[in-house]
Amino acid sequence: MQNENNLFKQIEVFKNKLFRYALNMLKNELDAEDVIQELLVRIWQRKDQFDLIENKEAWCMTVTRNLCIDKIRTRKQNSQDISDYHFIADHGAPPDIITEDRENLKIVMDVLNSLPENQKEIIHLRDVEGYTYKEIAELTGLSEDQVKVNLFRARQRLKEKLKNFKY
Amino acid sequence: MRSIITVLALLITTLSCWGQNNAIDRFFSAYENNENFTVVYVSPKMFEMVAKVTNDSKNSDIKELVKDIKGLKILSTNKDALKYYNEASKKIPLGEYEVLMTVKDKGDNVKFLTKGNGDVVDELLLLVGGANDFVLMSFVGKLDLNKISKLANKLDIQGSEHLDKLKDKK
Amino acid sequence: MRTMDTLYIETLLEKFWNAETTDQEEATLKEYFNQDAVDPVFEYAKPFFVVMDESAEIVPDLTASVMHKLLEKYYQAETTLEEESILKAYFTQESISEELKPHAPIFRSFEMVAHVEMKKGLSIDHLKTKPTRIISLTWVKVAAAAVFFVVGGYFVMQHANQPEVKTMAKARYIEPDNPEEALEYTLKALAMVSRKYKKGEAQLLEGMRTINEAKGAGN
Repeated sequence: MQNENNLFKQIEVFKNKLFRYALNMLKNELDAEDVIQELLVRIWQRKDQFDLIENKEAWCMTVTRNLCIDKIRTRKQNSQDISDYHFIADHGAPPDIITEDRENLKIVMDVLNSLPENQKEIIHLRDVEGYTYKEIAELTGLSEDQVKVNLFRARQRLKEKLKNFKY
Repeated sequence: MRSIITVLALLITTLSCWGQNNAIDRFFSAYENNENFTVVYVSPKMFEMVAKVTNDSKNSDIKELVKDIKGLKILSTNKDALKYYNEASKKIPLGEYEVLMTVKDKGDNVKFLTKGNGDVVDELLLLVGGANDFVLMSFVGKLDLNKISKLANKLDIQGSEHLDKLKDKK
Repeated sequence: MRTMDTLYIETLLEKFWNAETTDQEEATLKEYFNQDAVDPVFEYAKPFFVVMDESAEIVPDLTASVMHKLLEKYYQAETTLEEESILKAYFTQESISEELKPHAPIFRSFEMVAHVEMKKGLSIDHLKTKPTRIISLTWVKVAAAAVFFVVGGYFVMQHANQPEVKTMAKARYIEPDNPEEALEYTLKALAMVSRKYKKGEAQLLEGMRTINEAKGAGN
């Protein structure tokens, strides 16, 4: 019989990816934590089969994605956006983060948040997490070509904003 | 005293059956007003007639398979398959059904939920959804999964993968 | 002397990036880049081959020209993952060429996002999670059974009296009205069950095989 610790140890390596993915979709730290919690419950309920899943990271990413979509549908409105630049700057940056980086992060995040959901999701998966086109296509249910087109558009949008950056 | 226990046990069993059918029925009825869905329903009464017909048939395999089926309900749609799959996964009372297995099949999620023990189950729910159609099937009655798994080879059934044939029938 | 057509230069450059060029071929490239008619598509590679004048004040920034080329590909969504990690590495260090600095915030921001971590540990919060199974409800059931006996009976009767055609339903509703048709639907449904079940069994077996192999390898 698996105990909880042993079971969840298997997702320790990529738990932050799952969390960032949820954060990217939900823009809210608490909601993202809720989704990860729900994911753990799902794994626990299938603890006997979980070992049989070949690519656990892909499986967990898919379940996380589905849970996020459910969450978006059921929650009242786009609650508070605490995942934006402040949150990320505080959590993700080295302690001696320079002011320009912090300000530029805000601009980048504003651009990303203004993108259509597909583009935002895809650029996150590619440029933050380094997934292959194939992996992204499988996760999002799009074709590899569609993934590329969306990525192209997202990157072009960032390129347009170059002049706004401070350095 | 013993007879009281027997009666109570019987009542409890009936109660739990009633509860289960209700949960699934509620799920079905939630989509009966949605025009994107197709519902197929074969009533217990009809299965009695099916049993009579197959009783005369020479094909004993088929007779064996369907003789203990008491009811069949199918809910399907080709829209938002993944969404409905997730919704159904949530609404089906997992405390009452056992997840027999989950399968990945060409982009589809497939889930077998059963009531009863061993290879012969009392109730079977098949939930499919993902890349293709969403399908929820509910069988009530004794089903021998081992026998069923051998059926695909025996019968040449085309097009039932997406239930297309089934939908265009009428 | 060979004709220095664009295609040939491209081939040579490709070899050069892979460190596969011969001395002879490198000399050819050098010759090409030191004449006046350099094709604009190869402009980025020029710093690698121009003859450096000892007295020159500006030393060509080779790294910058490579990054420039990669950036172009990046915005066209044509970079490989490897190239993207080169860009990320370049733009997150501190000595970035002046002309490329405007692009840095993109990669620096992604790098920051990639460092966000979940602080909460991985354990099920049992207080927040509803239990999926209800424990020991025997007596509740006994009481409920009595109620059910009366109420349930009533509903069953009601249900039995309902007409079979549901006029309100908008979903396509099919109810076979003869046993042959009913059997056909049933068999088709069973066939689907059959196929998916077999698939599942195969996957389970495959999973067990993998596990057994892994166990075997460990011994």
